Amino acid sequence: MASHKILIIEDELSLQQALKEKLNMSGFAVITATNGKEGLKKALEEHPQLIILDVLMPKMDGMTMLRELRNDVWGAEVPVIVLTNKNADDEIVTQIVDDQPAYYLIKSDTSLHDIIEKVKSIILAQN
Amino acid sequence: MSILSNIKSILSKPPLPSESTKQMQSKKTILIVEDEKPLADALELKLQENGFNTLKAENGQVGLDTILQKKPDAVILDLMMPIMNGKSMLAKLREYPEFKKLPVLILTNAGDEENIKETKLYLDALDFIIKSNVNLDEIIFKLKSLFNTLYQ
Repeated sequence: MASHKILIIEDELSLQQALKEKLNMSGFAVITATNGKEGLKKALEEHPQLIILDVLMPKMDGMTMLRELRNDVWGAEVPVIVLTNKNADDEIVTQIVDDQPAYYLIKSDTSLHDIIEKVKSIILAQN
Repeated sequence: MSILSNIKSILSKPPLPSESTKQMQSKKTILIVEDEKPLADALELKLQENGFNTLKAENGQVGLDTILQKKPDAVILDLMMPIMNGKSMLAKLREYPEFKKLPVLILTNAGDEENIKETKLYLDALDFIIKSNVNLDEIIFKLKSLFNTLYQ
């Protein structure tokens, strides 16, 4: 899996750092961004195999970024894991599932390990 | 040997290196009160890598109970949490004379400055970490320098 590139868009630097270290250890190459605007730019430039996207961020939030990403020909297809603080029945989560096909993980229910495993299973399924 | 000479002989002896080393190396226990599981995991991993013992709590209520039972050496506390938020937890904690001075490091998001000011002023929080400005290594560095200052 050495050639697979993952983009992490997360403004909480501690979490970003931990995800990066764990993914590096699992053999992924990692690029990072701290807001949706920077994330969108890096996604369209570097075409990662998968994007981990936080919802609550400054400058451009995760949902706005996702909407713009899905307008791009390449971006319409790339797998996105959305990290959210919300509950499963919250509007924002239904919106993710209904309008913007993406995976989502709720921060209060998901361990660091679960996120890494989710990334691995999506990448494996792609190949 | 008289009591006086006994005291003198104790005072004249330098502290045993093994004792002072043991004291410095005794593992400090840090409680992480954070509802975001991946972030709590990340903090736990880094703290353990750096020789700390760790405890975790997912909201202020569990955090408070854990402090009363396990008496950690310091607390990393998120302000925004369900059930009991960080500020309410700290307010309750400070009512216990035993925990008036327990070092608490606050984790919070940018834009929460009003809350930060109040918490620092009234609840004697040690320091603040804005989640979008500070990475794991910097948090560990902050904790280590805190313990150096407290236990020197």
